[in-house]
Amino acid sequence: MAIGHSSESPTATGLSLSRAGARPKRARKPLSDNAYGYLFLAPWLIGLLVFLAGPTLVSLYLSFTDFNLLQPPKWVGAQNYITLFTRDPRYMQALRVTFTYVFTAAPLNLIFALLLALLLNSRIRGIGFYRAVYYIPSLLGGSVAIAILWQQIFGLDGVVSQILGFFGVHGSSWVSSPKQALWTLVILHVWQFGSAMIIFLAGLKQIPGELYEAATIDGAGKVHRFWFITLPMLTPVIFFNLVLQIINSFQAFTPAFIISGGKGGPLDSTLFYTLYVYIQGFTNFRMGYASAMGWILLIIIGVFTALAFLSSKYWVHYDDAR
Amino acid sequence: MAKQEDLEAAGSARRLTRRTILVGAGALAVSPLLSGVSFAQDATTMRLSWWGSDDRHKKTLALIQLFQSKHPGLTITPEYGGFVGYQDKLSTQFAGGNAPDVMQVAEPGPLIASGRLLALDDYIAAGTIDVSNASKSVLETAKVNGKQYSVPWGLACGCYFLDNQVFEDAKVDIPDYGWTWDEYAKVAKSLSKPGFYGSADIWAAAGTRSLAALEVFLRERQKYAFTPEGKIGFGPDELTEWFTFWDELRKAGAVPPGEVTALETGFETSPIITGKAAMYPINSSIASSLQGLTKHKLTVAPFPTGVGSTALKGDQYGAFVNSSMQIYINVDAKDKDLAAAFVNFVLNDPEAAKIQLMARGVPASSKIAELVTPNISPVEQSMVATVKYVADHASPGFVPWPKQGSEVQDLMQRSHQAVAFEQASIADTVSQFFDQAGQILG
Repeated sequence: MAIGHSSESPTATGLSLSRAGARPKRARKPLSDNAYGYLFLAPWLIGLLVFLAGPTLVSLYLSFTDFNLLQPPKWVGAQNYITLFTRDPRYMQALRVTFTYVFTAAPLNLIFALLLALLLNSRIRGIGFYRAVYYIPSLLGGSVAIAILWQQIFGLDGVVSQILGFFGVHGSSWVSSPKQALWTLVILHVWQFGSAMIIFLAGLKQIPGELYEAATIDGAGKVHRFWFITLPMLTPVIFFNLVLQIINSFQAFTPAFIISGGKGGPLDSTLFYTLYVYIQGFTNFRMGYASAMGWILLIIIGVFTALAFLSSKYWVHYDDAR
Repeated sequence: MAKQEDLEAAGSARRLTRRTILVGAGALAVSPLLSGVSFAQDATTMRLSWWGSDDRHKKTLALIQLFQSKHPGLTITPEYGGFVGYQDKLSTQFAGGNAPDVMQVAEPGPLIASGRLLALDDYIAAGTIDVSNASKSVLETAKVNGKQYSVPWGLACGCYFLDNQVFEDAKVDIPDYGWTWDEYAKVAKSLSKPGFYGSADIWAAAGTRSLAALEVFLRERQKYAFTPEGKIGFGPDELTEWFTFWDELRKAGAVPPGEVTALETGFETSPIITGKAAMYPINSSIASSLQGLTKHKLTVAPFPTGVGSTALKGDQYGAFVNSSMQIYINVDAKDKDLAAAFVNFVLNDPEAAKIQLMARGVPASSKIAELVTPNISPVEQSMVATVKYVADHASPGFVPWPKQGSEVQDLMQRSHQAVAFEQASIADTVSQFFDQAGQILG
């Protein structure tokens, strides 16, 4: 029977045989492929659902409640959102601080990273060593130790004050002055240019050498080659780095927390958005209020990322569009 | 018949033997697990959590060793760190149902309100926790709605640490315990020179100064930081007077400008340690830790008084003794009796006292305090004398802070900063303080 069953297909042509033979195989194989795929995906998928999607949805609910962590949440409607925008001067301050930080630290970081990538994209001896050295700050940058180091460098008798003092600028303590504290954090962020630099370096390596050759033959100098070849060819990478930077710097937390002892001081001058979320949620026990702030931040980041994507068609040149 | 029975017995015995072997083997295989289980039931674990500096960490770890040696099979897991972030972590642990069994709590209000901390009254009534030698007035300060949720793990008062070296060099006498605010201002001015300040400011970016210090002044006028109903207990006049007093000292160079004060992230980086000031206001309980950070000899003086003063004038003594920190039990503690025994141990055990000494301030039990006083360092002797002086002169009365108290304290710190950094006038700062405090207190 089994033979007879399989002998049904030989009646057809060779071509149709192979098709008929392949069909059950094809139907079976993707199924098992998918099963294995889902199996391997499961740890991440479960993690996503349980530890990310679940809490995210709960926080959406909590943002409409009065919740102090210890007692059951009480539904208050949109009250948290209304309070944020009408009766909370510290929230406005947190927005000011965060926007100032994002719009200075992110571009400066990118420019710095690009400049160093250009420098390090040369064939000199020991270039690997230099690249490693310039990447180190990024490995250290987010850590508590560096935040404390920063406090010392920009403190009252810190290196910066002493050097400036040598040049006759008798300054104060930078980290503890409301006018300058935020700028020390911008500098800290710019100093962590490493990961953007590595991505730029990879981008620079992708630019075909013949473009430069052709341009050189046409008489283009270094500056022209940079403006008309390097920069346009690099725009996809710049775009990628820009999106990452926007998202990262909106969420900056650790340096401000350490340098200000968790308070966002002096005088709320380093009250980053995420730090204020933390203070309201975990110090003042207003978790519903903090959740509302978290959702607004999500929307803000979403809007700015979308703007970056919408603008990209005007300035980002992809290879295939050449 | 007998034979038959024997046979049957033998048969059943044989059958039983087979079964017994199996059961026996099984039991044998499981027995280590069983003993393991019973062992685990004997061996209790307890989690103890506190904040502090190295000195306190070392002494508390030794304390744990001693308690464990008295309770064989008990393992205490210590959880400790600095003050910054301590309460945030603890509250989160409570929210997650994963809080320690016994602990120091910085802001007990919300935890008590939500029923997370154990009322100790039953244990006190039963004598498991013996408070007969503890200060009644301080015990009273730890009561919430008439229930005793904690016992003081050391007594302290707000005080000034004085750098004796600077006083000697400047040929200025160390003030008497009864000094007034006028005398304080005079001493601060006479110790100042360019780049050096007679005294640290009354606020700090970190820690718990500002509102607690203001309360010393308010008590001179029979007022408190809060009313019993949980509203602000003072008016714009007092706050204006307070800000003005400090602003004048700042402008005279007797206390440091804002950016110097803002550098203090804890007493480790306070101006008395970094060599910027000669007098430093803080809770007296850190005496030995603070002395450990400087070669200059330190002594302790109480907060100045407004009686007989023109500045910050009042008609009764303002300074008061409180518990430097309190020990609490989790309402879900695994073994509440054992936790209560530990509380009693830190409060009354003479051996424990000899380990702790003054790591958390003056021992709350007067008997224990007398016992260890001969063993302590000069700065601690001076601290004990100061706390005693304040306890003898303090006026009765106390109003506990509402659960948003620490939020108002943070607001007060920011208000101090607004004045110190000259971001707002005193009048504007005062009116903003009352607006925002009203909002916080609801």
